[in-house]
Amino acid sequence: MNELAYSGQPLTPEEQLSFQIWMWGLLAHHTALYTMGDSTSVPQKTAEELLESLLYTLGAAESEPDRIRELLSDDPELAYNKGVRILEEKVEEGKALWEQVCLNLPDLKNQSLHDTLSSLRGLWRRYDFRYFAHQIPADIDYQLSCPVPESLQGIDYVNEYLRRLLAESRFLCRFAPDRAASVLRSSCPDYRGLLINLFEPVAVNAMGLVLTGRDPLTLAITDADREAIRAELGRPGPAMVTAARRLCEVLEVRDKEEQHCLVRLAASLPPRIQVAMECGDLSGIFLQPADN
Amino acid sequence: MQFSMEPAQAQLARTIRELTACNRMSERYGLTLAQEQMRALVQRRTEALRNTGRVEFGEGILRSLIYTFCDSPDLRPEDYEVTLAELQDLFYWFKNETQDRLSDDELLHAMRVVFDRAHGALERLVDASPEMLCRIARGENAEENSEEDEEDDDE
Repeated sequence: MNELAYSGQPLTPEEQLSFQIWMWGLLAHHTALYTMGDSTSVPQKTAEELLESLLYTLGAAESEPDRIRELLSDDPELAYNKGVRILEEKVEEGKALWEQVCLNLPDLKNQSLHDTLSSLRGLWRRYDFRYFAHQIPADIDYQLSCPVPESLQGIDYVNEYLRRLLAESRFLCRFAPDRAASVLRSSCPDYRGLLINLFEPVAVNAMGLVLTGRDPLTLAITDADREAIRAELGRPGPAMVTAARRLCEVLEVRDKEEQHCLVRLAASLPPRIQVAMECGDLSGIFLQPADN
Repeated sequence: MQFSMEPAQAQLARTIRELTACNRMSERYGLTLAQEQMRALVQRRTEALRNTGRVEFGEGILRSLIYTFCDSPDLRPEDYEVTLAELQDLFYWFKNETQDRLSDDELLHAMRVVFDRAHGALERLVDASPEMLCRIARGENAEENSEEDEEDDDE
């Protein structure tokens, strides 16, 4: 009854004070565990990190009033232990995602992708979900087409990154590696060595070909194709998003995350396309493969 | 939501109780604290923590300081509160300077060794290097190392 009455309402000053006391006891206990009883005090930075980790583990990092009310009705240590169990499950999910990504990598070399996956391989040993659960002890350098929101922390960030990377990798695996490599060389001659995303140039070319009614698997865009694309883009409506959905049908993309990646990319393109249309040159967006 | 890192009022009362209990032990050395002095020391602790950027849970380090130093012949009753306040400041400062490499007990032991060697001259304790405190805590020859430190300073 109370939950319904308070749903969505900001915390009252009394509730805020209660939660501070609730958290203070938990933080004191965890700080003592962290120092193993060797020290009664810690640097403020350490205390802040321990507090942030606890809030993240408890699912209260966003200070959501209803979540905090739920916590207040629970014993602090029990609530914390529930949070730890959830994190442990997420870590297992992350390990499985990492394996899936490694098994579904396209046959395209990229140093930052290789380094990122190597770093994530060691994450499971370094991830300290007892004291620093909100941190990400890995070097994630490879850029996704659609970055993971910075609001995500710890294992949630890593798993979302791996989910998106898996979707992008699965999409790239649909194309012949030499054709995809040709598009990438056209986009960036040193695509293997530089911090670039492999998915985006290939996906944009595939969408462009769908707009012209040609086979997207060829990835080969000619001047004539660009003229046809220009005509299609001149029509009213979200042409690129429609093209992304059509591409999913043509390539039989069933995976929701893969579909989302394509639609998100398509939705981000109009500003770039508009500038290119005004300049009368779409060759920087719909690329002619380097070998053509 | 902002979390206050300041000690709660309840902690103050608990610390006063702890220090009152300490009086029963330290009075055999002629050292006692009045209630006002206890409050002043607790206030000074808050300032020391703020100045050193540290956070402390529980009653603080005062009780351990008293237990470590109360049998020192160099601790005079007339300076008791002032000396404790200075030692408390130095304790948190040294925690930072030693980058938390020493436990509370190890640091207190090292501070007591330097304090005794300096016959209670706090300015000598202020000058103690973190390396020297670490060596003393590890049980290395403190006297010898102290001389080396002084020679290094001369150079």
